[in-house]
Amino acid sequence: MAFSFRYLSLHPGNFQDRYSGTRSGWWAWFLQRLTGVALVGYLFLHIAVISTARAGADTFDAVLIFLQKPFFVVLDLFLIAAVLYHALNGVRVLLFDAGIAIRQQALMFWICMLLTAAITGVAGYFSLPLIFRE
Amino acid sequence: MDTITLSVRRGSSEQDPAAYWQDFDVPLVEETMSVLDALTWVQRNVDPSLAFRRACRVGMCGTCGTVINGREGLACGTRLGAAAGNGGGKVRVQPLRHLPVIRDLVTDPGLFFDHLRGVDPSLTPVPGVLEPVVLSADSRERQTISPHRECIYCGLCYSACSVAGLDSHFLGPAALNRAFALVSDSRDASGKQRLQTVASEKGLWRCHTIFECTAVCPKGIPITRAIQGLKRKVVVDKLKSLFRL
Amino acid sequence: MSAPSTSQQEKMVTGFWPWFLQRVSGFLLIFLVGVHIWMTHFSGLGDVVRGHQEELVLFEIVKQRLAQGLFIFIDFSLLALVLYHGLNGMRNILLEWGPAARHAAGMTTGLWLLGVVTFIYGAWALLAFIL
Repeated sequence: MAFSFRYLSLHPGNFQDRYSGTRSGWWAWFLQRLTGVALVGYLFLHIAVISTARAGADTFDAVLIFLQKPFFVVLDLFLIAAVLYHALNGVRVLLFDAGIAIRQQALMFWICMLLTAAITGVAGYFSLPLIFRE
Repeated sequence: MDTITLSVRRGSSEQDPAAYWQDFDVPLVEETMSVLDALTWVQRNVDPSLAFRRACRVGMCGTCGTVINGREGLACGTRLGAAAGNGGGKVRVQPLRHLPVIRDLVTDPGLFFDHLRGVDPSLTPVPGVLEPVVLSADSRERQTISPHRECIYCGLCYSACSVAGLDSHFLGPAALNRAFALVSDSRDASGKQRLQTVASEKGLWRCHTIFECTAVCPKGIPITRAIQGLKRKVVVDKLKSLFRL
Repeated sequence: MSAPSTSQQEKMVTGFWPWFLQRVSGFLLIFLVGVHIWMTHFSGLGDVVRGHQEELVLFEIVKQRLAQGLFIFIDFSLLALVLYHGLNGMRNILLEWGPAARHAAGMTTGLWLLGVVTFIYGAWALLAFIL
């Protein structure tokens, strides 16, 4: 356990002991790394899926119809949440690099979380017909 | 009189397989009693072998830094009663992180000071200036550098820094803060060189604006702001030199 | 647990460009990924819901979209930028992990190779819709 946390570039030592309590700056960074690594993994899967087009339009369509089943639409929502968080926190970090809102870092983190949840919620609402279709 | 359980991490190193937590019941003599007072009480009344460092006892020297209930703090500057309230009635004291433990709460700060030396932390006088330089208290420059000169080199920021914990080569918050104070100071002659030293893979670019250093600094130094200030200076320098080509 | 001594400390600005380009690519990706997700997942949503279209993404739909020069430009820059941003981010993480950091130069070369090969593979896949 200790090794895997370390590998994700988390703090070594007692995880619970250290991260009980609100440490928004740390959580912001941790989630940025977590979503970043996940998105890199997704990127390679995505390229692999799109490359099935080389096997012909029929193969591509068969794969894509399978990947648009309700289960995968739900997974897509997790993907959207990850992309949103990573992008919004990226803006947060860009602002810090420009010297803006450094004192309000905790507030900025919560704004990122709120916007991620809100926009994912809206996307989820509009995707409901795809999740509950025959 | 209330008693408070002081739980102390004891051992000859962090990796010591025999390291253990030892509980002591400490009387809360006064509301203002500090964690350092409690440690001293234990050493004098229960176990003289308990090892910890302290010097001034009034938050000036930066010697008694420890990890109290999972968070870095000066033992002299943390009230026992308040810490017990936050820790569910118990106060857990550990040595600082990322530095080798010598015994109990005593760590070897060598690595921390090596990094500080790495940024050439002393002021380089401007050649030829013999008179004392006047930098008035209300000048913009003075106000920029003043908070960053308050550092007492206690190492709390280094212990709290997640990146320092992963990579012992990272310069760490205190060294970068010191570099910022000097680079922003017109009385210092080697700003350019110092900026180049910190603008490395083991310096500025490793900081991920996690804000742990700023959160634990007992002097309230906005350390992250200093590191961001250095980054902006490098960006401006780089882009200037790029467009002059 | 040893710090490099002052004499060993690099006396030049290193790591500036990876740091800076991570920010530039990230900024551009906000717009590119935004357009990409909107076009593939939401712009055709109404048609799918009303039954005018079988699925959101099918070969013919992608082919039609990539008949426009703008989307060819967007998709190829997206592929290049997202690979740079992603692998540069992995490099950042690996630089903080001792065993990899000790071979930083080789690791960087390896990641560049991986990126270039993946770009060529991805471009080859995309060209299936264009040519």
